[in-house]
Amino acid sequence: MAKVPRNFRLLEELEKGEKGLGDGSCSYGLEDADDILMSNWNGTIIGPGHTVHENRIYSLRIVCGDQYPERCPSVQFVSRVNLPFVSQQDGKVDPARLSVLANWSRNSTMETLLVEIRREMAAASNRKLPQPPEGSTFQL
Amino acid sequence: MALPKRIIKETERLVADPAPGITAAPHDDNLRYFDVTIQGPDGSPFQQGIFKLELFLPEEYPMAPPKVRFLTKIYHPNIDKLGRICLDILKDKWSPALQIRTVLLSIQALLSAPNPDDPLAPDVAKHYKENEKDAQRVSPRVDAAVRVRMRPSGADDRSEFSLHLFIETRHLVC
Amino acid sequence: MHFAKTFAEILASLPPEFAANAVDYRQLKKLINELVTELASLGLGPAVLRDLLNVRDQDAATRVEYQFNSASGHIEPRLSLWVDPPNAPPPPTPSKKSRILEIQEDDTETETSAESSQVSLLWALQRDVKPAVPAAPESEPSTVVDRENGRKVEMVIPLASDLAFFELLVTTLRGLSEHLVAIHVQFVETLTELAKTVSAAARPVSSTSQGFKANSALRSDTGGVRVNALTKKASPYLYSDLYSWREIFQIYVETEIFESVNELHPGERTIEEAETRLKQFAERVTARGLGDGRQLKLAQSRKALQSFLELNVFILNVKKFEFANAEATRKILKKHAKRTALPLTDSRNTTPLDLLPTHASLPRILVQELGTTLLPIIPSLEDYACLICTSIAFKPIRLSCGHLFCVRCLVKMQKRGNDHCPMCRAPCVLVADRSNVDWAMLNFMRDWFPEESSVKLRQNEKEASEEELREMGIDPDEKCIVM
Repeated sequence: MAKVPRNFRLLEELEKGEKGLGDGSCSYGLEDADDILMSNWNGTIIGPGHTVHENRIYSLRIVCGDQYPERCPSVQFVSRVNLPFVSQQDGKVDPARLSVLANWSRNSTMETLLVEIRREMAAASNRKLPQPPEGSTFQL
Repeated sequence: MALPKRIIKETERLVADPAPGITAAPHDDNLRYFDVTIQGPDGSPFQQGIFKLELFLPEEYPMAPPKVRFLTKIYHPNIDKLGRICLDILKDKWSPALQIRTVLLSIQALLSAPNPDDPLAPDVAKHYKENEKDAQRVSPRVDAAVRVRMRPSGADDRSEFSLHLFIETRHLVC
Repeated sequence: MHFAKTFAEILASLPPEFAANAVDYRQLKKLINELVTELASLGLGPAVLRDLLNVRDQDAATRVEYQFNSASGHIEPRLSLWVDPPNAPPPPTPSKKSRILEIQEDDTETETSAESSQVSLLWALQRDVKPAVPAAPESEPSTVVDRENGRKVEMVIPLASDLAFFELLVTTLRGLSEHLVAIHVQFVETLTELAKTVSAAARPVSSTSQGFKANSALRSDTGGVRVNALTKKASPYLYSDLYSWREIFQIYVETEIFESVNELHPGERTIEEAETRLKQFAERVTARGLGDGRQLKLAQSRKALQSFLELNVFILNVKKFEFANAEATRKILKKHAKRTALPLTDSRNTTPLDLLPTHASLPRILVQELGTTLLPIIPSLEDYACLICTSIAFKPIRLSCGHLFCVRCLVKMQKRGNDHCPMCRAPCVLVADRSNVDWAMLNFMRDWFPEESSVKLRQNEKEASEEELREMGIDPDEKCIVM
């Protein structure tokens, strides 16, 4: 199959994001609408129900580098959250500890990334972790 | 999968016998992905500008149109801030008889004939409609960073077919 | 290097019948020398002449005019001197006179006395001079005196060697044109002969089967697919060099020997470039084994290829010859003007270059004839390719709008629900069916492109079955399919 180059792949993702994803619990968009390189993105996850995250809105920053989608993007929580793969210093996601990043393939997208993180929040081991106060952010 | 014969042929001709004012070269590691430059047409507000674009031939090409985007910022009512182009032949008016070459010529022609009635960039379009002269005055300023000296283009145009198609179907749909 | 030498070398490199019809550069040069002597003996050395010719004032005491007249295909140069009648006192133009005298003193070519007054000197010379060629039409200085206006007298100064110069040039160039016409006729004859040979040597193998027509429009083959129609039959016409000739012509067209069709730099090539490219063409043909029995099975093909190459060398020679003669003409006229100070463009803005016999550039015509007579004998794949996939449009489907595509591409369009003809946008793709197969074209393609047709047919089948698998959700690229 034809290999879609980074920029056209990101345009596809942008258009998909603009239309809205699935049930609306995850979304993303360009941080700067003028960014011709489309590197910096904002992501949002609405915390899954029946967990400590219920009704919380988490924002994240996603950076798609030159090698995207061959290499995974770097992800950082802006909203404070307590999850095993999120650094409590700065909110950075450790790619080694999140399987969607560790096993990244060019078929993975920002949508799959956000959906996977949300699923992690609902995982049995994570759903009841004590959380920082709602609305607090990492000191960046 | 092997590159279809048609793409190989088109590439060969693009490289060996480029259309005046247009270059297109495939990436070494992705032969469906092209670096493109288009010279602003003489007599247009973009005269003397050289614009960089990228073009990708999706798997379904030529049944589906190529994907094209400006990389150079440009002040034009049918081109948005991310360089996406509003041109009917890149969308529902695509014909598999069109080629990379004819698409690029049509984009070059779009630079000569902006269509403010069907904008991708509403603010620019408004500017064009209210005061075309002033909008055109702005264009070169925005593009000044990439302006370089160049020869005037003047050779004959063998892509009449596409241009006819282009002119015929100029009512853009976005 | 002097042009005379370059010119001689070019002519020596061409077949002798060319040289025999070339511009006689040496003889023309000799005539210029004679003319220079003749003018000098009249006291009209270059410096004097230049000065006299520069006098634009109609009332000046003395002025000279040089004009080219063309009459019944001849060029007659006419040098005339306008002076006041000898009995009238010359108007006082001391400054002019003294300047002429000064220049004359410096001029080593004129051995006339600078003491006597300019006008009377010329008069004296006019009387003394004997025409170099007695038969020349203007052997006597003819004098026209406009008694009514009373002032100026025109004297035509006979220049026998100048007449001879232009006579020789015109005659040669006329002969040259005639020669080129003869060459053209000869070329067309050879070309027609060659076209016949190639037609015979490259006819489709299937033409030996019954019912073949050149364009096979009427073969009633409405059956299904006939892939291996080309099993060789025992017949005296077992071989055809169709594919070899197609390749030869394709290489020929690609090499663009005489003219470039490049969009940025179109047009006629220089002699050097054409020569290099002709050589490249011959080398490529040889390298592909097309020059001998490896690829050309028939002896007549090998002979025809030889003849084809010779025709091209011939065109190149004509090109060289035309160029050399045009250069020789240009240079000799320049030399004429430079040595004598007689201008190349006369007072009425006429130049002999406009009056000389001309002819359309022959090499271009010859190249064109080759392109229209010989090359189309073998249908070129490009003309029968599907505009969408660029392979041969097989099996050919003719849409109701008249446009032709291969069945595979139209099936793809139908699957996508695309109803518009790619060429004219007429909504006729979805209604196309088996009745749209162009059988005449199909047979033509099988005759002239047997290999391409059967390759395309196999490709179509492979693609179609892969597509079916994909539609069933199976990736045909996977090595192993577990059902």
